[in-house]
Amino acid sequence: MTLLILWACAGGEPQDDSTALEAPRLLRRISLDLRGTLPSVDELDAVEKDPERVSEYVDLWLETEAFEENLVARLGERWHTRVDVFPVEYQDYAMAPEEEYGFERSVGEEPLRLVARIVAEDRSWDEVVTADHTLANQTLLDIWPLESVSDSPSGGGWTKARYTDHRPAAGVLTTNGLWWRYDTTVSNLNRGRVAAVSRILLCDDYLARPVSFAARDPDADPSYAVLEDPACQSCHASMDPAAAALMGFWWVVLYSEPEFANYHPERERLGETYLGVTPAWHGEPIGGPEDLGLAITRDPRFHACAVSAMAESYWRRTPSWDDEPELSALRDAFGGADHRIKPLIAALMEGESYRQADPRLMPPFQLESVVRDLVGLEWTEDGVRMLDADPSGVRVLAGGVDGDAVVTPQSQPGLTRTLVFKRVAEMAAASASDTDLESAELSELVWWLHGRRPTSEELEALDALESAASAIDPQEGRAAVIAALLRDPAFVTY
Amino acid sequence: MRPTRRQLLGAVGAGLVLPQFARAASADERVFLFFYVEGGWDPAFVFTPLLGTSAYQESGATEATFGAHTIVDHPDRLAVRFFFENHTDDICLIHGMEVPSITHERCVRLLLTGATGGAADWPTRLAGTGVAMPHLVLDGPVFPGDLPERVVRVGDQNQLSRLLEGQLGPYDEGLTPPPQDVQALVDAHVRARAEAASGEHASRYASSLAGLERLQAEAAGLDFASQSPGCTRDFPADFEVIFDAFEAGMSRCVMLRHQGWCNQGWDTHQLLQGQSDNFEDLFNTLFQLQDALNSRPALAERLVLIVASEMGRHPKLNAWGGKDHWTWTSAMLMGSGVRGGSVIGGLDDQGRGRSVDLMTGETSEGGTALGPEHLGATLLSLGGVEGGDAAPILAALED
Repeated sequence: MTLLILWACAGGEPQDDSTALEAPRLLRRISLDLRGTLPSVDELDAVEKDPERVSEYVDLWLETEAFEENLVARLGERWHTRVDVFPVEYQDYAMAPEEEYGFERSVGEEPLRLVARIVAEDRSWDEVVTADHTLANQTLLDIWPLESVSDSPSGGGWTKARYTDHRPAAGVLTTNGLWWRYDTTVSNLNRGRVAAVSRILLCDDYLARPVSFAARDPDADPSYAVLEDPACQSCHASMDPAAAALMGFWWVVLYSEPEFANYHPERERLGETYLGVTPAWHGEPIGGPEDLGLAITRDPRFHACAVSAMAESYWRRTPSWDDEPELSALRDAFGGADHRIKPLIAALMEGESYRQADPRLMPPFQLESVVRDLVGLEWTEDGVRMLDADPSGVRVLAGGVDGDAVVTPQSQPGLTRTLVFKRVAEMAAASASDTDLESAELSELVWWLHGRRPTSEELEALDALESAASAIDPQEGRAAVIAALLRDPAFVTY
Repeated sequence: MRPTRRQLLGAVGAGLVLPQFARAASADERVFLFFYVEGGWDPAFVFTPLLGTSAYQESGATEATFGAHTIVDHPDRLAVRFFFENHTDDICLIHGMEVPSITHERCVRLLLTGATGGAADWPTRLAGTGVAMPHLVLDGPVFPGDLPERVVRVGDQNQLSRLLEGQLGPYDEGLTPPPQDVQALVDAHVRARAEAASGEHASRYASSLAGLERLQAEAAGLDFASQSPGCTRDFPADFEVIFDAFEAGMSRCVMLRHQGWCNQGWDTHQLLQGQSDNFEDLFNTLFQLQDALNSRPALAERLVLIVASEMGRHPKLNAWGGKDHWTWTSAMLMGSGVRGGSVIGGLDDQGRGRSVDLMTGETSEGGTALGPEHLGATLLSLGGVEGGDAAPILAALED
């Protein structure tokens, strides 16, 4: 054992975190970020020979179906709609328990699928709040007033669709999926929904503003305080008129499937009665959701927020003031590309911050897609993808976002995350028979899995591990090596 | 089995002396149980009487004084009354603590971290390192900040136990988990690789791997599952697991959550009666905690109990007969190092927090406006952990 440890130690190959990643390791990062899979050995060889070819792969992978699929999970980290419970549940549709997970993901992914499809088709980001359609899979087509408007479904069975309940069309702003996640109550009157839209699309979080009632007259009727109290007005002056534009989605009967699933045109004008204001966007009078979407596209924060949100997602950290020069250049690039996200992502990946060597933790959705790609492992239990759910799965334990209790991805290793990664590595290793992982040369295996050429000492340590494990059980030698490589610091970060 | 009100009445009538929290441990010996009340309780139902003011007046409620504590008494809340009757000398109540937001998610973060950013919460900071499960999250919120290596989440369905035992996974579909000896070889190899690598991530990964080895060695076989015999968690079972972990030196902090009677929730914008039912259920649960602690006198000397909710509720009813969010709330502390029988701060006639002299705990013009940062600093002080950004409430601490 001591000998093994010494050899393993000798294999360390430190790289200064402040420097730029070497091309193969950068390619690995890009591949994981765009496709959720590792680059092939051939792809690594190509950029090792000619680092300039990295940009070619960015362009190539942005056009893959895997990019759209990966983007859905990535958007979920910010939109928080991939939750495990909604106000209407699968039982309300007489579904079986094994259909629960599929039901919840269908509902929560509706807005994310629409956004991802807009990005994948290289359309303007404005369509996120102006598109005349949504996306639906068969589950949603079966339970909601939707009709498909596309001949053939694509992207995992998701197809373009339109609601048939006479609701206006304003991209995500008129999707049930968004409003089921950000539901409202009789007294909340859509205000929480406006706060969610503001956080997600404008990077302006009403909820982050400090609130104090210290100067407020408690004898005043609380129902009118939001209209009259200056402290309340600092938020409600802009929030309530926007909420008034969403009254067709206001629910007066809670936990009612028909109430939640259908639009209510007869309530569109009730904002004036219950909120005491008419629909407006920061003083600009508007009508319903369609106008709201258009007003949002004219808000200067909308496009700037798209840039900083994408930067945060791909940098795996919150942008700071120090990033402003780079963000400014990205905003210019985004504007120059008619607000299309693909050119923005390509520009991001050319940037200094993206290419810095500081390691990023692989989120659970990437781990899931990598092991699926490597060994065909789909870790499910009772139909639940274990790395993608929480009541019975391990999404949060693995460092992921559940959109409810945990809203930011874990950025440092932790105990339960390390435990989940260990178990997944063991499962993947046990599933690796008859795959390329089993037959690859050791040095090629390290190159493939880590995007880095192994040192001779590292190979000796792996050889020793394989021998020692084989001595315990001849079937376990290669599996031990695979498990070790999948738990290596060079694998669990990227 | 949860005691009924009749049983509680009988027990008290028969002269049963309930165990008292003892207070003899040093700071580094203390362990902390956070009982988070989710959804926003209404302190005016128990802790801070607003009787005779313009605030909402609950029918049948009266003031009752037990030692230092004057509370709201009501015939529907016997467990509350009996708890104060029996434990008034153990209880420190902190009133008028302002959590400056009105949204649950923001208030929870503020309550537990004192800040809106990504800081680690009080239990994580108190938890330290060097034990198997420094901050054990059985149920409820956690903000690990940059200290996730201290946090062990159990998972809603006890996934932790199954992961530790290697039971999670498609091993019933023809796959075979690796033998323990092989796992040990791989563990050693990976840990050596992490220790040899440079950078903060690698260093933290190495630390997590070391922690994981300890966790697997010490916590394997523990069953964290709450069997939920009724409509809520099996709190007595939880308390046994928690106290076992404390006594075994495996944890320093534990997070547990109360979601109201039958998990009906505390966020009573409508159906205000829920507050009364929830308080009664909460204090029944605290009796159960006492029962579990009764047979563990040594632990009772080390345990600090924190019961708090992220927000209070408006003094007046809203248009739907409930109460909306209010920024001032209360917290209840008991146990080792806590000055029992103390009252910190208070509210004015309109339900707003009054500033406080941190030395005496009395309300004081020109004193300190209490916030969660003061609660946090007090807890850190109890745990001997430096780094609080605010002054501790000295009046809440034993000399």
